[in-house]
Amino acid sequence: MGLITSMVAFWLAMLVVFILVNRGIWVFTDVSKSMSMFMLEKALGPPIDFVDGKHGSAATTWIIQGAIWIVPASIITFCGLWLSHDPEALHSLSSWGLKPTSSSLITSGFLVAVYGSVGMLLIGSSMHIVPELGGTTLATEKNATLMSFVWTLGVIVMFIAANKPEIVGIRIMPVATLLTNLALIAVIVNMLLTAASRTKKMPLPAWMMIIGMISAPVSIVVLAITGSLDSGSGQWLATRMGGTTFFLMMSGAILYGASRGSGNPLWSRSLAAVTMVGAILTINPSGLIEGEIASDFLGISTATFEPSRNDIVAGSFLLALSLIPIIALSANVLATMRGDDVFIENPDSPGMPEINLAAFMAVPVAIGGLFVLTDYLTGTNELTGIHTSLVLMGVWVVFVPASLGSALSIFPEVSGRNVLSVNRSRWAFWLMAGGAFSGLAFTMMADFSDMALLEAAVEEENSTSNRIRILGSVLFYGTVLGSIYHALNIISGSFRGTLSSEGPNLSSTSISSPYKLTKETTVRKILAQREGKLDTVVIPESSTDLPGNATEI
Amino acid sequence: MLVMGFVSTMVFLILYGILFPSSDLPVISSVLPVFDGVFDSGIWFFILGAMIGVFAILGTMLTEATSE
Repeated sequence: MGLITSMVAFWLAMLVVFILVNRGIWVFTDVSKSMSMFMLEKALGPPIDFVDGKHGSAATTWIIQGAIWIVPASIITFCGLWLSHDPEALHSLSSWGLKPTSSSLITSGFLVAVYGSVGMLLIGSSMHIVPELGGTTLATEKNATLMSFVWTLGVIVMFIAANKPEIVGIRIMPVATLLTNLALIAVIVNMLLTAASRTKKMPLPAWMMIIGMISAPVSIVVLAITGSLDSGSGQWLATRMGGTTFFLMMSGAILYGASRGSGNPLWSRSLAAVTMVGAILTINPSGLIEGEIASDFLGISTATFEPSRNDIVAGSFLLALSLIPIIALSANVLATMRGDDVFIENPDSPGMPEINLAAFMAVPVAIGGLFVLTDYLTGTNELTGIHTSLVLMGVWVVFVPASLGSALSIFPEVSGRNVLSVNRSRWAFWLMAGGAFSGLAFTMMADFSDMALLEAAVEEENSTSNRIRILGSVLFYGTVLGSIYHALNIISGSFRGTLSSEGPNLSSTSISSPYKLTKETTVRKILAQREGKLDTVVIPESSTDLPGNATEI
Repeated sequence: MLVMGFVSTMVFLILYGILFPSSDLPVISSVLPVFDGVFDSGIWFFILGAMIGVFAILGTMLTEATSE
């Protein structure tokens, strides 16, 4: 089957899913609801009683675990970047039977970042966003909380599989796929039950998250049915559709987070619709360029990537079109954060800088991805040398900030407490963003240098590139520090942060007052700097519906 | 306490050097060669920093969960 046939089958499948989710499945709707609820709770037996079922516990558990996963993800990626210029740096681990290489560490760091941190943060956010926008509560908090631990186990197995694909002759990655999909299906059923109990029309961000989750298993089933999974093009398409899943979920979370965090209404519903429909209709440039990772996940043999002429034309066209939903998302988020005036309402609010960064960087990173993927698709392979750095940049300056920012902006609502310190959150942002951007930019410079020398057929070792790589990996260490700061801030905040009803603790240090240099200012600007409050609070007096009488004199 | 510990360690090491010149330190001189060729890359300093951070997270979780 060709690429376009697989895509058409995917579009039809998603359309059917969307209709079924909205309309139900005829007379079986009630039966399937009660049976699903039984499978999610009672059928699990004693394990379900190990977890808490109070309101918001599921979202909090997923978000905290997602924030903690950023720490190992950044450490592993840092080690991978370091080993690219010093391959023997960790040779002493060979005494434990471990032989980490740069590529294995970067791949495992990528997987841990995507599935551990981004995946968990987005699923955690969806457990608050979907019920909130549907005017209902999560169908089962207990099952959702329990599944977070299954997912975490899946990510641990995934990390092991990326570094040691086979243990006693058994391929490990399919086990990770099994565990994560087990949790994902439970979460999807939970979300569908939640959506079924909605009391009002559910806005698009919630649909984006649900459809994004469902698109993961649907895409694999479609590719399996059309017989594409055995071909290189099909495996490449499966990897791209994985990117669609995360992009849709991220879009829903970031749109909700931008609106909720800034206090502004969503700028454009039409652009949100363009993002959702466009993401499904096009091929997303996020993720690794090769289809090998998809075959590893599914435990099938890797096929050679030999796209036909039609595949190249259709693939390039759909890849180029993917910029439309990405630009629509970026514009919508930035305009929502800005609101009606010239500045963001509460720029210091935890999560807002991260969302701003992700929305700002999404377009240039996507354009870079588009060039590299088109280059790979056409078989030119002149730009594949920068593909690893570009993928890491996409993860660390778009997906991780977007998911973390959304999670931070809803954290007070789900946990009932604010993060411990706004100031620490700001420091963590600068460390993470600065470390990831500068570190990966330097690494990309080294990639370009290597590519130039390779093209010129220079056989000597490129010492300049090695020096730049050292700088890149050391700068990336800022991301490690930032992730530790974020994790500490969230964990401490969930225990002793100020109550969400009281407002956040601005600072744990003495920095709190804005640094003013302007001669004259306006009341509007002063208010925006939290120096005062203009809102007139109207407290309603007790009133009655009884008809009035003339006042007796 | 930390300062006292540091000062007394320094005093002990100086005294040992004066009393037993050209003699290796007991225990420590036997343990250190084990690590020869193990931490011979700059990456270990960074990993040490990250480990401190990880233990800070674990410590925070334990202390926050058990404090009243």
